[in-house]
Order: sequence, then C-alpha cells, then structure tokens
Amino acid sequence: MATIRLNVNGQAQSLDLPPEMPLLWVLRDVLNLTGSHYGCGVGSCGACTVHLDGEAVHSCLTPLSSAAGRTVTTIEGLSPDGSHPLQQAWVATDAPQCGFCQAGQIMAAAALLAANPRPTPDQVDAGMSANVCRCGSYTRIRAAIQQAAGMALATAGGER
Amino acid sequence: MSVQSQPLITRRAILKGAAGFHLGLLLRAGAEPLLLLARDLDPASEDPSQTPSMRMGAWLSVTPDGQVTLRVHKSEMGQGVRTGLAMILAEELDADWARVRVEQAPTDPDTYGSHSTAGSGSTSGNYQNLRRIGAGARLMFIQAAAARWGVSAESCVTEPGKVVHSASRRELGYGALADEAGRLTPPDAASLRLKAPAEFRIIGKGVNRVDSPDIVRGRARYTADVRLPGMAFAVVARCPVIGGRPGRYDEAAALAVPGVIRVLPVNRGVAVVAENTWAAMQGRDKLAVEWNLGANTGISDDSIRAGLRQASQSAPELPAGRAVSAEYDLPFLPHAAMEPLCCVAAVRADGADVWAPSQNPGDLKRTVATVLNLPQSAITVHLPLLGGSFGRNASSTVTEAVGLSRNMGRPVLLTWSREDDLRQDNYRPASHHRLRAALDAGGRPVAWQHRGAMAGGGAGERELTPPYDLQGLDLSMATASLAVPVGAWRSVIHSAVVFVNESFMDELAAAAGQDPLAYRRRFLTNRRVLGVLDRAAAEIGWSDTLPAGAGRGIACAACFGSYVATAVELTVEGGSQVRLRRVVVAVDCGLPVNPRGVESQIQGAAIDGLSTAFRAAVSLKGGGVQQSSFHDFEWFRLGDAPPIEVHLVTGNSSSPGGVGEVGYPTVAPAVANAIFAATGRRLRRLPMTELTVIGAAPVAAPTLVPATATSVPPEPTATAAAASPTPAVEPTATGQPAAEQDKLFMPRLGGS
Ligand code: FES
Ligand code: FES
Repeated sequence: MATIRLNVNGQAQSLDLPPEMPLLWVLRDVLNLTGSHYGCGVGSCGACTVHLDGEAVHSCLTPLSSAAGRTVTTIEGLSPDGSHPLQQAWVATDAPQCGFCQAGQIMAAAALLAANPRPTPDQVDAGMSANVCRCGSYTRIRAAIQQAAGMALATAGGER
Repeated sequence: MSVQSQPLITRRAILKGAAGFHLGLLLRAGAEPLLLLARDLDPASEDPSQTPSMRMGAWLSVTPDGQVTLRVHKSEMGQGVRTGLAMILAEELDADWARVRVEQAPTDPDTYGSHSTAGSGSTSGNYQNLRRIGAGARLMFIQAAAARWGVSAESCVTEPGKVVHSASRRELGYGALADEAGRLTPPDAASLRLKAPAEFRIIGKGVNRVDSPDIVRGRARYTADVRLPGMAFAVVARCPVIGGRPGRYDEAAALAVPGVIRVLPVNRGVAVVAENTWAAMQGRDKLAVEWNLGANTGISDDSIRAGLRQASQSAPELPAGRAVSAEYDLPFLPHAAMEPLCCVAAVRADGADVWAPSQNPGDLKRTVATVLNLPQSAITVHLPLLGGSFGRNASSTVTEAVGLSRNMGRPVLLTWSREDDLRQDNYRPASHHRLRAALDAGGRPVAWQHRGAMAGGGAGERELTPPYDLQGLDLSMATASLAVPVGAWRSVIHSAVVFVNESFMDELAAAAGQDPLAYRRRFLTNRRVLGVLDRAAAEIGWSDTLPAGAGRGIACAACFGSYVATAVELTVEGGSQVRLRRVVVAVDCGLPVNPRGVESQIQGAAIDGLSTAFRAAVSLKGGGVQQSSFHDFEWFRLGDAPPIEVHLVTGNSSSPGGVGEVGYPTVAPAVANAIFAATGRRLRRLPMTELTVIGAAPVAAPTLVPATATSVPPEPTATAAAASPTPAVEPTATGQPAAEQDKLFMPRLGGS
C-alpha cells in the first residue's frame, strides 16, 4: 500500500494505510484525534464531520485516498485555543448537553459560516441538516450560530 | 419518588492532619467519617444495606493557590449533573465559582454512596448532604481564619473564596487557610448553619456548564476516546434476530483482513479484534456467520400488538352515564444515545481497569469482579462523560469487553456499531391501553377505567393515576411476556401513561363539549399542577384567535417530584403536513439549582417528545428490529425543531425536584390534542407516522462526501448487510445524487 500524505490540523502526515480506510478511523484510531466521533459510520448522523480543504464532510464516508494531498481540519484544529467564534458561542449559550454530537455540529456550522457569514434561519436549518443531536440541543445551537455570526461579523468590521 | 429524605447524622467526626500541604481538607486515612448516611438517598437505590460514609475530603479539596476541586459522584450524560452538584457544594462552601474545578469522583460506593444516576434523583437526593459538606468546610475556613486573627468565629463571615473579619475588614483567601483549615476538627453536623435561600450566590442563579469548554475543543473524553498502550479494537457480529446465536462462521476470511488479530466467540455473537476499529468492522463483515435464529422469528409489529391485546384484561361494566372509550398503542423505543455503547477493558491477572458509559458504575464494579472472580477492590471502574444515555444499561458491553481483554491479554476497546445499538437494546416497552369512562350529565367522569398490557412489566395503580380529583378510578396494566428485551427509558412508565391519560382527558372534554383547559381545571386540586397548567396556557395565549388550520393542545403531569405542562400550537396543511408553530413548557421543579440547566433539559426532552410523537420508534419484523441508523430511525434535526419556550414556576418548594425526565411525558399528548383541535382527528397510536412534519429545512438529510472522492464510500457496516441501505449512494428525496446535493448545503470555504 502506497504512502498517503495529507495535512491534518497543520501537521504533515505520511500514512501507510489502506486507501479505502475511512478518514474517521484514521483520525481516531491511528492519529489519536478522538474529538471527531463515531455515531453511525454511514453518513446518517454527522458526529464525524470534519473539514476537507474547508468543506464539511462526513469523515466516516471519506476514504483516506480522497484526502491525499489535502488539508483536514478536525475540531481539535479549528482554533488553537478554543477561540473560534462558534466555540465561544457554544460555551456562552450552553449549547452542549452530552456533547457527543457537538464536534460535528460545530464543524458543520463553521463550514456554513465560512461560506455564508450571514445565513438566514432557513440557511442555518439547511446547513445543519446533516447533523443529529440526540439530546435535542437545537434551540441553543441555533442561538449559538446566530451569536457567532454576529461576533464574526463584528470582528471583521461587518464586511462580507 | 421520595425526595425529601434527610441524611441521618449520627456522629461527630474527627478530621485531623491533612495528608500533605497541597491537600488541605483531605481526610486523614482511617479517620471517622464526617457524615454518615443511613442509606443512599437516591430513589433508584437498590441496595439499602449500603451505609456509605461521606468524608469531606473525598468531596472537595482546596490547594494553597485557592483552587477548589469538587468531586461529583454521578454520571454526566448531558443532564448537567457535574455542574449542578458542584454548584450546591460551592454554594455552601462559599467558593469563588471562577476558581472551581470539577472532577469525577472515583467509583467507590463505600465512600460516595450509590453512583447510580437514575430516576431524576441525583440533585434532589443529594441536595442536603452536599450542602452540609460544603457548609462544614466553610465553617472550618472561618475557624482557621478566626484563630489566626485571634477573634471569634462568630465575628467572621465569608465572601466568595475568602473569610472576612467584618469589624476590621481583614480578609484571607481559602487557599491561604487551606492547610490550617484541613487540620481542624470538622464541626458537628448539627451545629452547621446552612444558608437561607436569600443568601444564595450560585444556586438558582445559573452558571455555564463546566464541561462545555472541553467539549467544544474536542478534548472531552468519552469511553471510546480512551487510548491505552497496546490497546486493541473490537466489534461483534450479532444476530439480527432477538435471541439468535451464531453457528458456523468463516474465521479465516476475517483473519485475512489486514489488521485483524483474533476472532473470538462472545455470549451471543462473534467478536473480531483488530489493530483499529475499521479493520475489525471489515473482518466482521467477512465472517459470514450462519445464525441459529432461534424461537423468535415470528415476532413482528402485528404479533406484538396481538400479544399486548391478548394480555390485557377486561374491565367491569361501566356505571350509567355517557360512555367514552378509546384504545391507545405505544411502540418500543430504543435509547439511541449519540454515543453507541462501548467499553474499554484492561484486564490483568490481579485486577482490571474498566471504562464504560454507565449510569451505575458501582454496579459495574460488582459485575466485573464477579465475571473475573476477583475482589471488588481489584477492579477500578472509570467514568468518562456519557454521550447521552436516557436509561440504557451498559453492563452487557462491559461483560463482553472484559472477556475479550482477558483473552487477548491486552486492553480492548469494544465498540457497538450503530446498528448493534439500535437492534440490541433494552427498549422502552411497547404497550396497549384501553380507556373507558362514564360521564354524568354535567360531563364529570363518574368512572374511569384503564386496562392494558405492557411488554415485560405491568404498572401499578399509582403510576396509572391521572393528576385529577376523579371518582371511580379502576386501573390496572398487565404484563405481556414478549421476547423483546425492555428497560428504563427517559421518564419510564410516565412516557406511556401520560400520553394515554392526557389524550383521554381531552377526549372526555370533547365528549362533554367543554374547553380542554377549562375541563382539566375543573378537576384539578393539585395546586402545583394547576400552577404549571395555567402558566403554559397563559404563555401560549390559550384563548387567542388562531389562524385557519391551526390548533392548540395542552397536557399536564406530576412526576419525579416536579410538575409540568406543555402547550403546543401547530397547523395541519393538506390533511397530513404538520407545521409546528410553538412549544411552550411550564415546569415547577421546586428550587431550580441551575435554571439554565433546567431549561436545557426541558428543551431536549421536548425534542425527544416531538421526535417520538411523529416518527421515531423501532418496528419489528421476522424477530428483528428493522431500523439500523439515523436515516431510518428519524430523530428530529435542527430544521424540524420549533421554537421551544421554557417557563419556570418557582416559589412552591425550597428543595429541588427531578428535571432530567419530567419534560418528556406531556409533549406527545399535547401534540395529539393540538392535532385534534386543528383537524377533529384523534390520533391514538404513536408514532403518528400518518403525519409529516414540515419546516424550513429540506426533508432529506444530505450526506456529505468529498466532492472529489475517488473511491466509492465504504459499505455500511451492519451485520445484516442485506437490510442496510446505503444512503451515501442513494439519490435523495429531491432526486439529486447526495454528493451533488451537498453542495447546495455546504458551499466550499472561500467559494464565491
Ligand atoms: S459517524 Fe459519520 S455520519 Fe454518523
Ligand atoms: S449534545 Fe448529546 S447528542 Fe448532541
């Protein structure tokens, strides 16, 4: 099996692993980045959501080969110190309940806001529709996304 | 549930000589306990012979730098117990919340009492104890400061994190006093003065969840996140039919998968142990197990319904009056916690370490000791955060993982697949209910009969009693022996009975030609139920004019020492499309220790209530559960969730009631009652799959695969692969392939 190179949270990785191995298990069981969670393995829950070149993907459905030469960001790498506006808003609004889905929720929301800093409520609903929160923390996830969007816009001087 | 028990304080304690500078307030080993509980106070406690001691030092420590560490002995599964119990300790200690750190207490029932986290009893059952422990420690800090200043203890007060001599305005931080305070004799519990509620600085004020900062950075550790040197990863092939057992399987094919180390039989399945979870899953899919399906292949939804009806007993003739009757049916519900069941076991010759998402780690300790034939003292049970739980039991996973680790001679992480988790659960029992009532000329029920049956266990009269002052109650539920395993599920019996009672109450109101709210109020004498009912009605605007096609429904209940009413406003379009406009919940949980936490629990329970009212349940066919994952066990998603308002009714009690479960039971009946109000159609079977919830979000959930993926995504990992759809490659409801559709939802970063 050929060596696959990719960048994970700013670090170059060379991995001798089967190309079809899902990124989720590479992250969790090989790189010990356990923040991305296994909730279903079939793309039905979003607990495993990470960014591939900034795009939100289900890492459980992303073969390692399709991450070759690309940049993977996990919840551990979203910000160096938990200062991403979404992370701050998630804490301030007490969005997490059990927390197990929240890495995926935050990564989905981060991709959404990166592409659309001022989403309408409908766009938020749509952008978050690949993620399940079994604890039902949606009211506060909504509030947190709104708060973070405002925060990010304020920091960026409101520019698009 | 009894929530008012007080701890029995039997002895003056002796607390001397802290064992080390940095551990002020740590109890000297072997010293007498400060407080002795007659028995665990949790309603769910099964073992009254336990007489746990509550050693102050086990619960809190203060280091010279002023850092306060509080230990919490209950399982954190999202209900906020680590925050809430710490708030109680910190309040009476008068700690500076900014300097508080929370730790999970070691699993040690002898010291902490029962670790069982169930029955919504963690806060109510420990409220007084934890206050006393905090207050005892606070007094010791006062005494230490008074001694240092040469003044009387009575002349000193505390402010957050420090002792203040009021007259001279001198002050000393707890850190500076920790060592001296830790050497004092702890106060007699009878001499403790607990704060009056007006003095509370933390309780009732609301703080942020202590676990959130780790959660949002991916640093929180759940069981499956534990990594140990030499750890192997295991999954188990399990029979798709309940009670089935493995026959022949292809061990060589599994072993041929790179990374697979061993194939081992477990109780009802075949385990594949590998160097990573994915290899184990691949190996499992190669096993091609031939299952001995056993005796349960005839079980289906129809057979269950028939079995429940058959087990239901008949009721006597109704007295004279206007007769009303209705039958209700509820399904099996899986727990489907976001974290599938899992366990890490590291077994050595002389002991074991185990990590599991358990609501009862003390019990697990006993189980592991029995399985390994070792003394309990040789077993350490670690309790990471739980990724949800809702009443599930982790002991079967633990038994399997312990066996695998012993066999392998190395630590093993056993992961249940999502399919395992949904299909091998102990379900909320399915039930059938036949309600009959006779109304007098004024619409008052003169008889109310409840007959029915529940899978795996019946219900007592008390549990079936509606919260109204009614005469002629005749209530019984039989047990139906169906092979489907059952267990506790958020709000337990109330999850079924409140739907039935509150739907039927609505039916009686309709039969009497009276407004459902006014009708309920007519028979309500319980002040606290009345209080929440009136609040929910007022907040939703019960008598405001509704648009065409809209309806409001309301339901109330008393359970877990708390009181709740839910009001729902919705519209029904085209006969079956439901648009949820508002959900309003009023809760009287006595003293809300953390109001923000209460709100969060009620909002979450409302989502449970809506999901299971409309579409989430398991169905059975051929002896097996049909659902396999979140695409067919359809939980609500963000776009489905209506605005949920929570209103706390306070001032009726100075002690906390239960919060984790109380939000669930009234949601489904409020929905059913609102549907009736909107359409005149009474839905008596859950989930109401004849209806579709519409909202702003797309109906189909997108599957996010990389836009330039070069390989076909892996097959789903279900054992019964034939029954597992492959959502990744199926077109979605809008007819677009998922990979393309996802661009609609998730534009690339930096895209135009
Ligand atoms: S684990 Fe990837 S979507 Fe559920
Ligand atoms: S917080 Fe528990 S699943 Fe979302």
